[in-house]
Amino acid sequence: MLSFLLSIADEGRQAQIEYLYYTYHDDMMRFAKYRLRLCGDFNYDMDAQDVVQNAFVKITKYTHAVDFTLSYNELRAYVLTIVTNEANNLLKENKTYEELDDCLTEEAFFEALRIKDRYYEVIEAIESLDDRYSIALLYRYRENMSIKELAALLGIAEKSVYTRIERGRKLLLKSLEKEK
Amino acid sequence: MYTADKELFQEALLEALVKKYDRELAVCTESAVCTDAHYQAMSRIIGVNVTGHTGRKRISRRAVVAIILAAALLLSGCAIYVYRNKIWDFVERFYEKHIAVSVEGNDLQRTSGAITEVYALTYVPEGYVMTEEQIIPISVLYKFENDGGRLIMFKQKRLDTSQFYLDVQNQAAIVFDDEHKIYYRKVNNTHHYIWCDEKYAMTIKSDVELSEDVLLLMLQGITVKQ
Repeated sequence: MLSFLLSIADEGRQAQIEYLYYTYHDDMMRFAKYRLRLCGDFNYDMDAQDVVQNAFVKITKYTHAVDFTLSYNELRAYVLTIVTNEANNLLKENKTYEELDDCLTEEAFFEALRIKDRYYEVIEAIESLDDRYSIALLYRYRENMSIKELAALLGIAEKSVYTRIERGRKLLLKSLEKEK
Repeated sequence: MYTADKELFQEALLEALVKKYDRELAVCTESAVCTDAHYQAMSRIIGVNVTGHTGRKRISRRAVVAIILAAALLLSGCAIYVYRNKIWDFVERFYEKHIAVSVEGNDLQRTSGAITEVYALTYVPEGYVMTEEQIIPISVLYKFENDGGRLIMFKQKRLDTSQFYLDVQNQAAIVFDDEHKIYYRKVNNTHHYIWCDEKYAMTIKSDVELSEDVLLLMLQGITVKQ
């Protein structure tokens, strides 16, 4: 507990954490209960409390990575990615993956994505991705988190982070090709 | 090489997740009711005593703002000056260490889809030149830089359920001409100026603090890009 208090000793960060709590706690709780119930967790009421507590432990640690200039809905999406990840961890949804061969280079990925030509199709495809992949892509590409940081945030091995990002990119492209 | 594509992808990632979670929250029927033990645990985690989900101190104050800019008829080659004649309510909720500012109004046009009117910033302080322009479906961004390497950035975004965060120590509301009001905050040595019209939220970020005279000129210099 002491380390938690020390980690939020800075007053500015304290204000930010309080803001996140007062603004988003209820939505985080409702969302956690909803997701856990849908996954068949009969104890979802109590488990959701653990999920939200774990989410805030992560948030206090990674406040510096939160962009407080985002709008209400955008910031809420960020905190809900943390809730989603903690819910998945609780349900032990983090399976191990096979190794992937022939990984795409960044250039090849963006060339195949052709996002300028089909921006809204890309959004739809991301929406349909499994949360594990979309969350990994969000923090990697938007927050430029290192693999190590991402592994710590998600509570998985660094190798699994690589796999999620690569698999996420491939599934995204596959989904876009199906739309054609 | 693919910087523009990467920036578009960054926006798409966030927008997709916002849509996904908004949709789920809209259909979820669960309540946010928790046990006392949960709030005790939350108090330990975030370092303040929270007894429930409503906050410790909340004062609402309505600040009525009217921003009226001059309107000009569109003639060939002439600029349309952006104007508003709506009165918007900025609702400020005061907590001990921060203020949550919401843009609320009955006639607000909460836009979805692409930005339909791209704004241009026709006035910037002397010495600044445009170094970057980025216009994507959901936002417009211009960057300006002077010889000393100082930056000014203007961003236009769609107006969704806009609410933004101000901490008590670093915030102020700037009121000038008894009518114009924009919010100021300082984040990591960068000065932010935030305001909205009926459709869009605007932000100016600057390495140096801008005077009220300069701010007013910049505000009045916003036009619809032809």
